[in-house]
Amino acid sequence: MNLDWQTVTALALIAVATVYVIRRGRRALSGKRSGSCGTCSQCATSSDREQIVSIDPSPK
Amino acid sequence: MADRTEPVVSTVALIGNPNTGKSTLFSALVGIYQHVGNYPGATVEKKTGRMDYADRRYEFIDLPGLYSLAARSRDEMVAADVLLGRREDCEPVDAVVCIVDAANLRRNLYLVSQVLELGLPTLVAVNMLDVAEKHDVAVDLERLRQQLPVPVVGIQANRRIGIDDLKAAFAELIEQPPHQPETPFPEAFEKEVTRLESLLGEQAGQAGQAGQVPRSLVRRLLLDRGSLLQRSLLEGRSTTIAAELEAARDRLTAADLPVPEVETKVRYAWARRVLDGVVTQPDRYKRTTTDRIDRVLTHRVWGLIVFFLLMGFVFQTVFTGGSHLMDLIGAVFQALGGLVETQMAEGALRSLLVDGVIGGVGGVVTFLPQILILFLFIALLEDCGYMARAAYLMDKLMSRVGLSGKSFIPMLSSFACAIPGIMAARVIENERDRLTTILVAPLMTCSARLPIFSLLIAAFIPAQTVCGRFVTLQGITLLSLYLLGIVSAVGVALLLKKTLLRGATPPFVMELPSYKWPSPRTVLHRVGQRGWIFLRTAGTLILAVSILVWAAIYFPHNSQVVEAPFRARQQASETELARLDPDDTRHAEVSEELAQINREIAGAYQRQSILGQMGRVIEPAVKPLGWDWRIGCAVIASLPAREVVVATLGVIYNLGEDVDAESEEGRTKFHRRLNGATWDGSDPPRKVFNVPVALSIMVFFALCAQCFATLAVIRRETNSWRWPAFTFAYMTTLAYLGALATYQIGIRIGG
Repeated sequence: MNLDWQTVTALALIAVATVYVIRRGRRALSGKRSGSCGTCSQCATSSDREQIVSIDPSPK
Repeated sequence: MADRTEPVVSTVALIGNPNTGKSTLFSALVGIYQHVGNYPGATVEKKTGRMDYADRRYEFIDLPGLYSLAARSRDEMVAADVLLGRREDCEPVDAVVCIVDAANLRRNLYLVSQVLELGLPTLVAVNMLDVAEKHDVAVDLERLRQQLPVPVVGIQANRRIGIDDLKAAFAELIEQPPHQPETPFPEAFEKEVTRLESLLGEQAGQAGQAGQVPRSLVRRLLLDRGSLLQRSLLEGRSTTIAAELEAARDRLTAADLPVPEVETKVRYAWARRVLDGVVTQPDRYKRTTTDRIDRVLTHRVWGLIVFFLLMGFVFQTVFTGGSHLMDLIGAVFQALGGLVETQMAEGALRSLLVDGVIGGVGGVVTFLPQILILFLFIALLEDCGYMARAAYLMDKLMSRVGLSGKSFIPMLSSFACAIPGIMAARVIENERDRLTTILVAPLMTCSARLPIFSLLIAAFIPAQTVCGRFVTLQGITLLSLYLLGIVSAVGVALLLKKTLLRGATPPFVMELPSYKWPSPRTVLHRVGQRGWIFLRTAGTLILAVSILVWAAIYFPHNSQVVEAPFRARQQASETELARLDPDDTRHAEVSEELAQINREIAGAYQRQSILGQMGRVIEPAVKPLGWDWRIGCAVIASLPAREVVVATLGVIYNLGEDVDAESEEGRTKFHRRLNGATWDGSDPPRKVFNVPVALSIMVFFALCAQCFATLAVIRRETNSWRWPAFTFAYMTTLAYLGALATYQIGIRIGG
């Protein structure tokens, strides 16, 4: 392989991408954001939407 | 130095039934000073905010909407635990505000009666007085103040009416001592509570355990047979308590006070007494606009027809609405790629930037307009109140497969992303139903599948109109893919309920909120948030995977080995081309020969790459689906996250010059590359992509489990690796068989 500056830079970017994907995978498995995948804030949804935990109004 | 004293802080919990305007009131009180977090172990958000008033700071906790403190799920337990100070991550509550709907006081007072038993300083805020007035329901607030032992304030939170009075009432409430806990239960019942309370206290003392169980909690323990609370309170305690608890329940049954039925009777009787002379309403229920609309939208025939027509409209618009913007974004990325190519010398970094980054990420970002349109519609339908009707309609269908409409709401969330849908299944108290919902939620077509659907539909499905000018075959194809997900989910749920997860389905009752005009602020906020998430994912995960895929298809890139067999022919063609005049008749022929040689060299580079060699191994498995090794590699590369497949195809086909880039078919360069792709070694060249192949890829992605994050969440929600492994296995099998059938039937029909 010809190790010119372009190849070296590309290899460095590949290394960074590899580390990122591994860390992202570990975070998804550990669920650091209390139950979510850690990818986005979709699970902790926006504050303007009311949360409803009980959708059955008939008392037990 | 001035003496700066910190304001006294009081923690106030906001509680109420769903759709009483609680969150609106919360926003009205705290404004921008709010924070959203999570309760560990629960899916509900922890919403807190602060307000400064009269030398005091109020920390508000906006509890989730619930009808009763009788917790049937872990999320419902959160509200009760916060009120009782049983959560370590929350400050003890100093006061409670119960928000009630003026038009539904009788049902709302059920929860109020439970809160009053806690003995905390309590205030009742009667909201939505304007809505009550529209229903011709008159509420005598003065009379209500006389009937209830706690302060009552009338408000209209959406118009900020009565908020100042409410704040003044807080200030007074905090200064007052807590009121005596009120209970509507008869003496015989309370005797049993007292007996249990002392038994629990004695046991705690003997075991050296700190803390008496609050009386309100003992009452709940007696009422909630077999509940989460019973399991958690009795854990680690002597079996005597459990036996005494059952004996107490038997005595109550003998005294005509059976649990849990006694609670309903007693609390509604109390509500009737409190509301005596308070509420005046017409004998005949006044039909509202909501009722008139619901006559159609919840009709068992018309409702379903409207639902499918609406979904058809949504998907058709998703497909056609953003095309101009998509073309513009595509053109920008193409221009950027061209600029890099002209400004940089040939080399690995230039290839990475042009073919990897721009080709990969650009291919995905192009779909941003469609993502935004899809989420615009979802936000509009949710905010106006229609989604609750959809859940009601689906309940009828879902009950036939052993699920209730309660499962539809988590499944509906899965149209955006399966992960919040799976977590929302926590509200389903029946464990079998909950597990079934978790296992089928990933089949609902999430937004990550939209880019691959859009790419292939635009490239291979004709744009011919079907019914009138608006509906096209492309829109119908997209709708069909979404329906495939729903139908598969229903089929799998039916199978699971008849085999692995047998059990009866509890009935489903839900409240339908009134229709309202969607709030532009809310809708735009949600759409903007979703767009940002999409771009952030493109700029992070998809970028990283594009780089890795590029590396796998670029290296080892040994030019001396790869180009050697072609060098003589290439040099001969270049020499002849330099010699020929551009007007010479042979010029075009020699140019094409040279272009063909360059395509063969590019193909040779791909074949010798890491990905190319892996592709040889998997090609026999994917060939029956009509896929070549490149499609197979793209599918495998998208295992961590399915939205990566578009970027991967972009990288592979950008690097693969052994396609006829001059093909006229296809609107964009990407489409043309896909259209021009041929099978390795085929002579004459045989195209890889056709309609059956495109459909088989889409069917695969509609049914596959290409999302490690989803599998990880299933593991957490089920506390086992068995269920995510089962999900991956059944979905991959279903996807493979579906793709196989689609392709094999497709080529036989199409020839």
